[in-house]
Amino acid sequence: MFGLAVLLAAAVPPAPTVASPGPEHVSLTIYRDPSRGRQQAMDLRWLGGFALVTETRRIHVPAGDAVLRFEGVADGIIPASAIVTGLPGGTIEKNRDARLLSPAALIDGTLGREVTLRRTDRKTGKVSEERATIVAGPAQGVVLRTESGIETLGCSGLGESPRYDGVPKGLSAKPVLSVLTHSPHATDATVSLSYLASGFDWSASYVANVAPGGGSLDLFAWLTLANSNAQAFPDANVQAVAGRIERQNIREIAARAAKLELHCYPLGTTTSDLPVIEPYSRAPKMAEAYDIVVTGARRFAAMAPLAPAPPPPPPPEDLGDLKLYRVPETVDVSANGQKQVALLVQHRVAFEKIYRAHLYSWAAVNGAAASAVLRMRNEEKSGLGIPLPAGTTALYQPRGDTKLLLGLGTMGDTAKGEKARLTAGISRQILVDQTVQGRDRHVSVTNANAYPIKIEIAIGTAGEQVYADASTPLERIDGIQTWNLTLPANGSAKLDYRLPR
Amino acid sequence: MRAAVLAGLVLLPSIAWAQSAPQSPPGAGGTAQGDLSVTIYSNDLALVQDVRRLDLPSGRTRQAFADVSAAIRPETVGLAAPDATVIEQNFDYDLLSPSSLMQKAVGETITLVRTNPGTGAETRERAKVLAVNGGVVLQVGDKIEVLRDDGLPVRAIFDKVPDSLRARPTLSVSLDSKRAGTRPVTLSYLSGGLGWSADYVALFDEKAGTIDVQGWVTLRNTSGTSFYNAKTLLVAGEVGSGDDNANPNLYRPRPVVSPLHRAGTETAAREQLGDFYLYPLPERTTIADKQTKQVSFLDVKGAPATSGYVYHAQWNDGADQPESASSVLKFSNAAKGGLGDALPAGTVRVYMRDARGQPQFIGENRIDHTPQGSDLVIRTGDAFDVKVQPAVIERTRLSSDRWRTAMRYTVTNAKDRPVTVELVQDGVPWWWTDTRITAESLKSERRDASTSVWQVPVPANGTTTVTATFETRF
Repeated sequence: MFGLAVLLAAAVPPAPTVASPGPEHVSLTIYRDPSRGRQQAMDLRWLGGFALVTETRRIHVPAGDAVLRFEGVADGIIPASAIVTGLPGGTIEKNRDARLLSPAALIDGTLGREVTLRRTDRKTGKVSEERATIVAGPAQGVVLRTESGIETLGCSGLGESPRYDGVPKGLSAKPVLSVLTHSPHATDATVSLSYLASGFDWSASYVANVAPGGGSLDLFAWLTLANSNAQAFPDANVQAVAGRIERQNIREIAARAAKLELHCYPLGTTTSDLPVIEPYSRAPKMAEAYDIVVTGARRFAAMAPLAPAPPPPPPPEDLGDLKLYRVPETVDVSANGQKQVALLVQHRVAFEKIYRAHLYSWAAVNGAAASAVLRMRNEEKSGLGIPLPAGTTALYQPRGDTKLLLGLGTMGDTAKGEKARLTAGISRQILVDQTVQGRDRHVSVTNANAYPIKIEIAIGTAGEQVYADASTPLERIDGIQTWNLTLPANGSAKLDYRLPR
Repeated sequence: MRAAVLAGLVLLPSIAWAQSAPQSPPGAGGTAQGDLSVTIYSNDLALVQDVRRLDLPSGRTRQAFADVSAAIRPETVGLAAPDATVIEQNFDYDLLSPSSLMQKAVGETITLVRTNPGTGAETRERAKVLAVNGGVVLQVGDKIEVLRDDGLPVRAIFDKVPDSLRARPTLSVSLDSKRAGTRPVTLSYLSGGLGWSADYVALFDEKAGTIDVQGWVTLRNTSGTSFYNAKTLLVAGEVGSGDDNANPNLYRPRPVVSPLHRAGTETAAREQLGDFYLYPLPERTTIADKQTKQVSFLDVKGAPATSGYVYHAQWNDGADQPESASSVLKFSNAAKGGLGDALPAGTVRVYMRDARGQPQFIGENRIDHTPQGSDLVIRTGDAFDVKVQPAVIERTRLSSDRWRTAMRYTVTNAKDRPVTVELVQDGVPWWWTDTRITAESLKSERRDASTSVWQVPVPANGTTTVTATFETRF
């Protein structure tokens, strides 16, 4: 074995390794899942968003070549995105090693070398040990060379286990990120490491309360963020970025530990085809070792009663064409956890309640319900005027001392100056009918409320030809021909139109 | 005992020992690899050249080569040895395992060690393996029995490992040498499991209108083998391979915003091989198994760059809500006013400093191998504040094959500075040539038969409405 070292003609002395166990300070910028539509809620088991993690670490860098190991990074790290700055000697190369320590990796790493083989007699408890060399494994079973000759592991019916003298080099419990640097002198450096990591997501959760008199509402929003990494980020600066970002699929080396399966030579016996339990059940099957019991259910903050609102954070800042929301204090982002912090508070927001219904020119409809929405303009003079990130909405109305839920919905990214809508439920008080006779269409709409209402009835799709002979002129709203009217209290209205030839 | 183990090691096929080497770095364990050169192509292919010093006797000899890539393509192996000719090359994958060991022992004699379950006393006897079919049938003395028929512990001990069984798939070459002596032998082969791409870090300064770009080559080794202290060369190009299905004639959907805006015509000051650019790594490096390695190849500061907006509208369709325009970053890789290098294919990640000066990620996109002098337009994502709402405001059938479509595009800007949006109407029916725009509120540019483009200026916190009337066959 010593003679073999001669083969190492090209060997170089390995650079000393300096481990950095964890960051001194972490800043997390969380981005939404770009492929999650606004109608989709976050799935805590499968978070498709990501985060930019920026860490500051104090590392003692020796003079000359050194390998710096960064421990305590998120498991969802995208290694190609790692940026290391602050090293006096710069970065010669960055490496991410994903060879994990596992039973199979121990066999693989000790192939050709000695282990101690311990045998225990199952009946008498007698223990014997001997040195053995691993000759083959781990793919299709393990073959050993002992003093007696060539043997196989786990086929004799004795309790057998190899014991290793050490962990083979290059194996680690988790994938490791390291950089090779060449420092002109030894120094204590403040190193900044930033990387993208998957397994994060965030969403806004809006809670709107209609003011007791009606006419205006109070809008509050939570920043709901989640981390599905096993790594916690205590005392972190947290930012959230709104807007959709272009992402690419990056091929990663899966950090998967190979399985060790002990295979033996065929062990059929004269009686082994009999339907009895095998007497020599050496290795009990690991059958359903873990039952995962899920307790508790996740609810959006929408359902929670509105506690006194936390202080509103500063308004978002522009980050190029995105919006950056800062959490004013440092917070703990725990592993596999969801967290909510205040995102914005707006009082006395003006709104207009309208009803909407949608008809298609080819379909007869009988008693279709209209949906109610609260429409706001995202402007200062309406009491808003801040960028509203996409999220879920919940609308409440007071009733005596309590309040009632009126509607649950979603909101897209809404810039300043745009229209914003809050879903306020579906009304069976406002019903729409359409009858079809050849090319003629007759629409009627009824209001069972004791107050007048505004309603928009959109007909057909964008890009359809102009309908002829409408008894009331139709307006194009968002490209769709729309019947726009105010219905009197307990009143009704009719519209006739004709399809073009 | 020590002597026995050492003797065992000598008996062992050298391959089994040497193949443990990838688990340890050079100097600590050992590797049979010699002076390595690895050339990695971008399509998961690498050419490995390994110069080993071998002591060859005169005449015919068989040499096993340990520590070759586990993803070797054995049919591509070539061997050059001075004063020796290759007789045959073998790639053996008859692997050593408990099962194959017993199969090969048919007809041989092995030792059985029986343990008495009550007393723990061991008894040894010799047995001949008669057959291994579902179970092991043995002849012990003049009796025939089945191994472990009673379920009691029995150790089966083999005298030796058959020569044909290997711990790992093994490459061996038979040589006919004219003389005895040590000489360098060059082994070369192709291997899968090694690939590379580029990763760019672009820090965009919007106020100054510049970007700082760092380029990193990222190699990935999933071959199952570590390559120690290798001279590494990366080739920016794809060599055709046997299972090539990248037929250029196949339909490939055009991305929303194609990154390559204008192909360049400059030649980069890089070493070239045929049409490929070469990126040699400055120092020898160890490419460990399951490793992602990054080495810098480009560092440009202060190249000019601008941001912009692009929106693509579908034909004869509206949107019931305003839709975000794409934010794009425009720069060039020309020698003058650009990055001044050819860019190998990879991912461009764009960062920007926030109000506190900390770089924040604003999007990424992929570029193909890009010749120097090209104009690049990288879509980083959707703009929050710049939106377009297209609407069909009139659609009239003029005759059986003539339609008039009036479109209105409402372009809004919630930013506190004016912007220009490139508004693209895609898919205008082109298969008849008599498509016309009869009226428009802003002069358009016809990019091709099916695409009209407007450069729409939008004031700060303002709205610009563009209307256009198309007359088409559909």
